[in-house]
Amino acid sequence: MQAMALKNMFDWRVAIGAFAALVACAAPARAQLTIDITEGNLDPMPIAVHDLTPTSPDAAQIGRDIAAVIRADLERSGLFRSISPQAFIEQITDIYVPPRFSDWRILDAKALAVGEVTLTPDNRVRVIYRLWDVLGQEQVADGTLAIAADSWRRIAHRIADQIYERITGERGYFDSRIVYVSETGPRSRRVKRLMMMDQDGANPFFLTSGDFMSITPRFSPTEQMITYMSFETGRPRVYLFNLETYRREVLGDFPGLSYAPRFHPNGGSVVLTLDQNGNSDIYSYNTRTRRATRLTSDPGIDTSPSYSPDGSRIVFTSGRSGSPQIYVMNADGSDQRRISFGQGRYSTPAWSPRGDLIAFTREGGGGAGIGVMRVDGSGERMLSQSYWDEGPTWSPNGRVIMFWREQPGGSPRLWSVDLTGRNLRQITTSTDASDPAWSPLLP
Amino acid sequence: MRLGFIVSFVLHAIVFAALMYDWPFLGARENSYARAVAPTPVEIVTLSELASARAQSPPEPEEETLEENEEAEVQPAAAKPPPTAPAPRPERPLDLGGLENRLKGPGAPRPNPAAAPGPRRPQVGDGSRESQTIESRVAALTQRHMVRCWRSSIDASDPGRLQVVLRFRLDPRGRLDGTPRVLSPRSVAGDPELRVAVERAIRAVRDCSPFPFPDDALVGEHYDFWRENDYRFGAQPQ
Repeated sequence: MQAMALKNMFDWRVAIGAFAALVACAAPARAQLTIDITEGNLDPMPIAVHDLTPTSPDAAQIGRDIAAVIRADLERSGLFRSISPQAFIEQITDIYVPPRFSDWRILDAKALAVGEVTLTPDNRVRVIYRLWDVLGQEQVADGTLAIAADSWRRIAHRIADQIYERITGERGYFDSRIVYVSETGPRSRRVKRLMMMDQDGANPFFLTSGDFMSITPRFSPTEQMITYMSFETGRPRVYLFNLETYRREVLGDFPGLSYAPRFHPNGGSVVLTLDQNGNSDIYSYNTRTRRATRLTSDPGIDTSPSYSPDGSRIVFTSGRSGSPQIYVMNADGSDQRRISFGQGRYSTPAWSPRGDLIAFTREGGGGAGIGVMRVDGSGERMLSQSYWDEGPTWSPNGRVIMFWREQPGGSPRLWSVDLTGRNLRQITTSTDASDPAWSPLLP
Repeated sequence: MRLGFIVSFVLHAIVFAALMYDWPFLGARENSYARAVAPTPVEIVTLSELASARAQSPPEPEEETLEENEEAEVQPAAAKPPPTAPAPRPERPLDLGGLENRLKGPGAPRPNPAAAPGPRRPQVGDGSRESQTIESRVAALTQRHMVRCWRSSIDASDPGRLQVVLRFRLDPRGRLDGTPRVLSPRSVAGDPELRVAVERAIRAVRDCSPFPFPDDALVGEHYDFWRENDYRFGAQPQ
C-alpha cells in the first residue's frame, strides 16, 4: 500500500515536472530589445541575367540579344549591378528546373533571371522568364510575353521593367521612348528636326523634315502624341503630332509667337506661352473646345509651364523679379508664388511624375546644371553641373532625369542622371541632340 | 481522479497561453505577407504550370544546428528567482533539470556544477548601468554591421512610411537561427514599395549572418542580450 502511494506520488511529480519542462522548452522567448537600424546603403543589387534558353537553334542568337538588353537596362538604372555571364558557374539549360542556388550565392547574386525563347512559325518571338530570389531560394516573378520578331527589343524592355518593379517596388521605365531635337550641319546653318528613339538610344528615326526647324517636343502623357514648335509655315507655331496616324495640326491660330507647349496630365489640353506685343504670358488651350484661357498677365516674361501630375498646379519660369526664377500657381492661374531663391537664374522647370520634386536648370558660376527641389522650393540640390546642362525631362517613374549637355565649342548631346546624382550617363545618339522629352510607358 | 483534474487543468492552461502568445502574429504571417509575395500576374500568358517550382526544389543543406548544451552554458546563473515560500512539505524538491535531461535521453548533458548561483549578472532591461552599456553596445554593433547588408529605402518618394520591424533569433555563434518574423507591417498587400522594404530587411538579415556579437569583448558573453531581439528598419527622411 505504501509502495503504491509512493508510486502514485512519483507519477504525479513526473507528470507535473514533464509539463513544466515542456512549457519551458515550448514557450517562445520574448524579444528583449528593440534596435533601430537607420543607416543602410544605396549600393546596386547584384543580379545575374542568364542568356535565354532557345527551344530551337535558330532562336539562340535572339535569346542572347534579349538577355543583353535586359542586362543593359538594369545596369543603366544604377540600381542593379549585372554580373558578367562569363563568371556564371551554372549554365541554365532547363528553366523548369530550379537553379543551384549555392552556385549563384558564390557570385554574390541576390537575384537570378532565366528564360526560354521560342520563334514561332508566324514569325513571332515568345519568351517565358522566371525571376529567382537567390537568398530566399524562391521564385518571385514570372511571365510570358510574345511580340513580332522584329520588335524583340520591346520584350526585353518589358521584362526588364517587370524585374525592376518586382525588386524595387517602383514602376519601371525601360519600355518607353525619347523624342528630341536632332541637330546637324554647321552652326551658321543648323538643321534641327525631331527624332524619336527607344529610351536606350536604339531604333532612332526622324519625325519631321529638315526643310524647316522644329524644336521643344513634348509627349502627351496619355496617348502617342507629341506637341512641338515648328517654323513649317515660316511663322513659329505650336503643332500636335499623332504618332499613330502621323497626322499633324496647328494648335490654335494665335497672333504673335506661341512656344513652350506642354500637355495637361489628362491629355485634354496644352499649356503654352504666347508672345504678344513683346509680353510673354502663359495660356491653357483646350484641344477639344479649342479655347484658350490666359493664366498669367504679368509684364515680365512668363514661360516654360509644366503641370503637376494631378493637374491642379503649374510650375513655370518668370522674370518678374528681375531675373528668371521658378514660380508655382494653381491651374487656373491663381495663387502665384515664387519658390526658387538660390544663387543664379532658374529655368525649364519640369514637375516630377511622382509629384514630389521639380527639376530645373540653374545657370550661374560660369556654367549651368540640372537640379531638383521640393514643390515648395525647399531641399534644393544639384544633380549635374557643367559648361551647359539644360532642359530636364523625367522618366515615367520619376527616378531618372534626361537633359542635354554642351561643352565649350562642342556639340550638344543627351545625358541622364538619377536622383542620387551618382549615376550620370551619356545617351548614344547618331547626331548632335538637344531638348529631349521622355514618353510615358508604351501601351 | 484529483490527479486527472490537475493534469487536465495544466494542459488547458498551456494551450491557452500558447494561443494568447501567437495570436497577434498569425494574421500577418500567414495571410497578408504570404499573399503579397506571390508571383506577379503576367500580362500575356499565365504560367500556372510553373507554380509548383519551389516544391520541386531540392532541399539545400541546412545550416549547422545549435547544440543543446551550448545554449545551456550561456544561461545566466542568477536568472533563477529566489524561493518565495517554504516548501509545503519537507520533501526533496523536484529536480527539474535532471528530469529534463532524463526526458532528452541518455546522451543528454548533465547539469553543469559551475552553473550554480554566483555573482549577479546584468539582465536585459533591468535598468542597471551595466545592462544599459551592453544594450547600447549591441545596438551600435548591429547598426554598424547592417550598413553593408541593408539596402535602405531612403531614395523612395516617402521613405518615412517604409518602416519594417523584424524579430529574429541568433545562435550563440551569431548565426541566424530560423526565419525572421515580420512584426510590422501587418500587411503589404497592394503596396509594392512596402513589400520591397520588408524583403530588403529580411535579405539584409540573411546576408549579414553571422553577426559579430560573439567576438565582441563586451557583449560576447551576454548571449541573452542578443539572442532574440526586435529590429526596426527605417531610413531617416532627408
